[in-house]
Amino acid sequence: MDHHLLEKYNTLESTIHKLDPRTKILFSLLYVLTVVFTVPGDIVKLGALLLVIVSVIIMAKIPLIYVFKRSLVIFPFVFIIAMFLPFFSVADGSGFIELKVLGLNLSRKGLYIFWNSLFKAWFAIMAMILLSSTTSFPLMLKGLALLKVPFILIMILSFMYRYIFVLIDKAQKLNRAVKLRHFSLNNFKQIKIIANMIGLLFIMTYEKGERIYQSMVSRGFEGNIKLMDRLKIKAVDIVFSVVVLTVLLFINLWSFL
Amino acid sequence: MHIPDGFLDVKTIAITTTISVLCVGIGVKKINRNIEEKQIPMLGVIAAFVFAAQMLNFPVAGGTSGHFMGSMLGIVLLGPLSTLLIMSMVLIVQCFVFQDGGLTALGANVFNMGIVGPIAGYLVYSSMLKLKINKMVCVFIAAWLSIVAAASFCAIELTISGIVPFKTALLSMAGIHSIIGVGEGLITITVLTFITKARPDLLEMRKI
Repeated sequence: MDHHLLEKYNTLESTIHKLDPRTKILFSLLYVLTVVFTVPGDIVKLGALLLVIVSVIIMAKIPLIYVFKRSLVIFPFVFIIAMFLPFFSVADGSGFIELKVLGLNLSRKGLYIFWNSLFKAWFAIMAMILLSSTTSFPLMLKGLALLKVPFILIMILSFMYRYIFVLIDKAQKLNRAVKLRHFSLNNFKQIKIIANMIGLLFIMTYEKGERIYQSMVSRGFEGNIKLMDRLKIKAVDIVFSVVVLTVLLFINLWSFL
Repeated sequence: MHIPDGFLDVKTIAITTTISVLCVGIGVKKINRNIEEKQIPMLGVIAAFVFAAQMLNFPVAGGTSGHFMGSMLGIVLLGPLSTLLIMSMVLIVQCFVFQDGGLTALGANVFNMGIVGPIAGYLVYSSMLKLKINKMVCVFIAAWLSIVAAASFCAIELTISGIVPFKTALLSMAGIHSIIGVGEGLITITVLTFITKARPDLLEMRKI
């Protein structure tokens, strides 16, 4: 299971890790909103926002290179948008600069859209990576519950997260059984076997899930996720929130003036 | 078709988020009132399954990404409102933990994959069932339609935000997903056929 890979840096000790999940969720939301609503081309603001996220990542003691590597997943999406830059040209009358790239004309508007979405998407994803690598899933759920997310939604989230690993386990088990019996599933004629395996996987996961649920209920589970440490807004949270709010407000005002 | 942050403009974000929040609110109310105990693990299992199905994705030129959606499984087993909640929760985990789809685009993603797709699928499925057409044929067509509808709305949102020209966005998104839709339909049918044979009782849960 790649469970530990996913939560590789969740157990580090740092100021950011110690923050209440609510503080972190709200910070991420506020940061991403600021990034997304930045007026295109405001380089000073984007630079300041980059500085903010990088300094929080450093405070969290998470290697910058790790965040950078994970944030690369965003680039295919952005570059695909870039492929359509030439199609924006002359027609929209948004000013046209001669920029010959591979024999194609690029319009100013097209380039503008490209840079804009590139940086916004990139900064936002760094904030989300920061959130997920400083907050374990149970804590995140508790934070969402305290932020008044309805109970049934928290239930679905927690069961889903649990069952993803059950599903992976069962899939590996099926795969092992197939290998033991020595037939390969590369042949297209065996599509029916593969199809039945998917169906079987569903039933197996459901039956295991049902048993897990029943044993949880019989041990007194009422839907609440009980944590050892009670979550309280601490002095750190207040200091962090005040600093971040001031900085973000300042950045917004600066670019507004 | 997970839209990242920074691709949508303010009005698109506002409209889609409002609709999604309202619909999820209605879903929560209805389900709180009607849920049976047996359905709680089922909600989780379908969510995990949908999550796994959506893990296989690849970027699509002029759109965002292509992948299976898996909403018809939820609709046939648990009904449309449950499916809305399942899809929304899958999207939340993908956004918060795996950075697949943006935080500000969450409303738009829920709108496409939790509301537009499943509703399209559900309407076709339920109206075709009334015409006494073979159930699995209904499921196949509904599954195909739900994924193509969701992909088309994703293209529309990108266009409204001024990111890609409408024709290219629609062609690439709907085009790719009409191929993926065939796979989606076939997988949904197989799983449902298997369930019908092995655990027919699971098909008889209350649909919400």
